[in-house]
Amino acid sequence: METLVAFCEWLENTSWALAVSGAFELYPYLRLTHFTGLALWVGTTAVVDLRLLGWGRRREGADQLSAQLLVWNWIGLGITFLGGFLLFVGTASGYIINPAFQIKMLALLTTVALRVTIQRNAPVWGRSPDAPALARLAGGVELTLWIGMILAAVRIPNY
Amino acid sequence: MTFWESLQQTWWVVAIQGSPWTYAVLVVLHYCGVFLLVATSALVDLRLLGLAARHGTATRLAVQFSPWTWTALGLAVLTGIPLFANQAPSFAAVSYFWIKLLLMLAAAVLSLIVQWKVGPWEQSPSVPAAAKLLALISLLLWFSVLYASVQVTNYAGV
Repeated sequence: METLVAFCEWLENTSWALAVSGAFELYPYLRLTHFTGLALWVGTTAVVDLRLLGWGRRREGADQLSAQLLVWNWIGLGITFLGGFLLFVGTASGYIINPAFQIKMLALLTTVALRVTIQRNAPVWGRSPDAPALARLAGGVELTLWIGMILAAVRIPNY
Repeated sequence: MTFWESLQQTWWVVAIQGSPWTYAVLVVLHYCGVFLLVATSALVDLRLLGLAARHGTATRLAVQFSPWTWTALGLAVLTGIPLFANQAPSFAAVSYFWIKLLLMLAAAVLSLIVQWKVGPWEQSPSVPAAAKLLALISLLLWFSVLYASVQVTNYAGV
C-alpha cells in the first residue's frame, strides 16, 4: 500500500498530471468522456448478462449478442479508462486511500476478468436459448458487481 | 418561496435528504438507466451506419434491445424526478437542465422512429441515406444529452 501511495504521489506531480489537474475547465469534458465510455461499456455488458439470465426478449442468442457487441464493449472500456485515468491523476494519492475507490477498483478488476470469461465462453453458453446455470451465475454476478461498482463510485466523495 | 423551493421541501424530498443511502441508490439507478438507454439506442444507430455488429441486422438488434431501451428510459425518468426535486432550485436555474430535457425528448422520439422504421429500411437493397442521417442525428443527440448532463452538475454545483 505504501508503495502504491508513493507511486500515486509521484504520478500526481508529473508535469502532465499537474497540467491536467490545473485545467479546471477540462473537468466537465473528462467526466463526459468517462460517462460516454461507461454508457457503451456498461450498456453492452448488461444486455449480454441480461440475455444469459434469460430476461427480456430472445430474438438474439447470448452467443450472437456477445460477438456482435464485443468491439464496442472494449471501445467503451477504453474510453472509460481514458477519462477515468485523467480524472484520477490530479488527486491520485487521495483516491488510492479512499475505501470506496478501493472497492471500486477491486470490483473493476473482477468484472474485467468476468467479462473475458463470459466473452470466451459465450459461443458455448449461448448456443441453446437457455444458458447453463454457470453462465446465468456469471451474468448475474457481473451485473451485481456493476451495480456495486457504481454505488462505490457514487460514495467516493463521502469518505 | 418559489415553486421549486416548495418542491424541495415536500415530505418525500425531505425524506431523501435525510437518507444519504436512499440518495445514493437513486443516483446508481439513474446511471444504470442512462447507460442502458444510451447504449441500446446508440448501438442500433451505429449498426445502421455500418459501424457496429455487422454480422447481424439492425432490425434484429432493435427488436432485442427495444424493451430495454424503454425500460431504461422509464428508470432514468422515475429516478431523475426525485433527484431533480432534491436540488430543484439550483437545477431549475441552470439552462443546461432544460436543454437536457429537450435533447432527451428529441433523442427519445428519434430512437422511436428508428425502431419503427428500421425493418423497412433494411429491406431495401441498401440502407437509405436519409435513414443513416437520422441514425447519425440520434447518435449525436444522445451524446448531447450526456454533455448537457455533465454541464448541469457542473453549473448546479452538485
